[in-house]
Amino acid sequence: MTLEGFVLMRPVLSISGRLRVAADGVSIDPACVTSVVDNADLQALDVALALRANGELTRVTCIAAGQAAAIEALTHGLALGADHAIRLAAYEDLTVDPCALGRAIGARLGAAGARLVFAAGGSDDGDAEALPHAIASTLDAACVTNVLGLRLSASGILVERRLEQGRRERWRAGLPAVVALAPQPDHTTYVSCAALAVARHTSALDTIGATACPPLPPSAVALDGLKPPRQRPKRLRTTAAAGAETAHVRAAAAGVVARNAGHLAVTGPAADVADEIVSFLSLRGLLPRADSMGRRR
Amino acid sequence: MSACTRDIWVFVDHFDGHPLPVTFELLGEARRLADLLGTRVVACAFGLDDAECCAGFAAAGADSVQVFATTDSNAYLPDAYAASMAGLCGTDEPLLILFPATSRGADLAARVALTGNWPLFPRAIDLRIGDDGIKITRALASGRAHAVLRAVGSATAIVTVAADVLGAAAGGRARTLDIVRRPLAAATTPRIAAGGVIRCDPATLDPGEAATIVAAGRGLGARDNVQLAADLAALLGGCLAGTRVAVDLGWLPRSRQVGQTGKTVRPRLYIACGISGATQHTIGMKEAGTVIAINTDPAAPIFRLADLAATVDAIELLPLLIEKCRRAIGADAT
Repeated sequence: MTLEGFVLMRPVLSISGRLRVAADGVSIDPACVTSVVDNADLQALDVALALRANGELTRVTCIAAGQAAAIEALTHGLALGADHAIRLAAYEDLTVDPCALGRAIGARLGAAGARLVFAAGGSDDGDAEALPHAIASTLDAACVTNVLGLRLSASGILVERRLEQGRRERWRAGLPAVVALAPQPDHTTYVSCAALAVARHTSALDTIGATACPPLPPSAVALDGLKPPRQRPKRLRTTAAAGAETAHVRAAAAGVVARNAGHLAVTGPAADVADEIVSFLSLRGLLPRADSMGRRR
Repeated sequence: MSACTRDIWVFVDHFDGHPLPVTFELLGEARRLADLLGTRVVACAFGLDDAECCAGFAAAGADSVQVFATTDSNAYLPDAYAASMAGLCGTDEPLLILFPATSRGADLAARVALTGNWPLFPRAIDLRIGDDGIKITRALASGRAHAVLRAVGSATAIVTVAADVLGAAAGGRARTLDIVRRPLAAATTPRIAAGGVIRCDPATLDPGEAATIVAAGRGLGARDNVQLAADLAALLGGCLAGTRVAVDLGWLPRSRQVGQTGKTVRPRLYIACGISGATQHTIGMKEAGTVIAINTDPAAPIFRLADLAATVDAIELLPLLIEKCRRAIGADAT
């Protein structure tokens, strides 16, 4: 079976150095906004390279849209072992609408005859939740997300998806398919400087000029501005909880519990403290409830 | 259709017949927005035709529930779900659909958005009604920057929100719920065959995926006392984790270590037992939703992160806490 794996490499927004506010006093100074290689993309590339090492893929090609940051991302891909890289030069490094960008990349992948595409399923900016679907809809392919494990077969792919609280779900799909890998925040992929230096001088990076790139579809999303984060206190779950917390504050005033620097401080005999904790858990809806069979949920 | 007459929808993610807690956060937020606009909140549930759940939706702020019939309520059929929701959305034109940023919620949100070419806003952290429509804020660059976005035109905005981000506003007055039952639409070209769901034993669950973590630190004094933390974790349906010191002492396997050289965790509830709160540990758990810290030292740094700080000996407290939790859980069931 001859199957080429395509890996989407997408630069993500980053803040370079100290966060600075622009002259308007509200938005972020554009000078400190930059874009970086997303580690989640390198994890997706790792999976494709492992399949190539097993002989299940014949070739791995990285694809990115953008300018300098895209070149950097593709260089990282080549340094990690990708056979080939494609840059779509018609677009900016950072775009607002992931669906529009995904459709444009999907059109290019369709022209390249892509049947299996790997992408990060999670990213710092959240766009990775949309991009694989946008590519899949343009390619008329199946899209499988949050994938932890993948097996290729003659009829397509069998994947294991991550659900909440350790649960897993199995999906089967035919090719073409777009596979979005589950994010692994504790797994960092490092690229050696030597490999990067070699990759910078390789001829494996092809640039597709503006004329050959499909036009970016009209964006359905507009950016009003980038702003510094605003610290907000945690909101309470319900007014009932809020009322009960008020009761706690009253109790604090009466000396039963103390409120200190935004949190409840409880001290005293262990039994009283245990009561306070149980009531706190109950108010916040954090105690599991048993069903009629006595099973907790 | 003017904005004020268009409903706000909320997708209900559920498992074993129980909606995930984030659903109620979204219903609360939808209620807040709907009250501002004078419109209705509609919960969309697949395979969850249960009176108790519907009453919960009403209490959380829903005016109506659209129940799509499925044969297996735990199975997620992405193509059919997307076809059903997009079909109804195309007819009813809601102003906004809120999806939980869960595995299934995020997946379905993108499918629905692409089906109707509707604007998608993943991972919103704030929603506001402005003069020019709904404005959605998202965190970028590891939270160092916020992007304020808005939809172009008046199409339905599809928004995903992670758990514990918005909190939940009050549902307010009790509502008479309007329940509409619908068949599941068939996907025109189904591409995915959904297999079964594999369940996980909470005791062996990876701390990175756990909703509740009870963490043990050196303050527990001895390996035998770690069992108390494990018992509490089992009772709360969570998993046991610990600090590097607890791991180095051989009380816990390396896979249970939270912190700079261990796992980064984001549970809804984190109970730190006998943990001082060194930066090397807190860096791995600072994004936990609710933190309860138990330590004898009132100046322990972990108290700075805690929502509830208990200045008491964890070894003395844990057996009592287990007993009282057991009673409270039993009482809830009756």
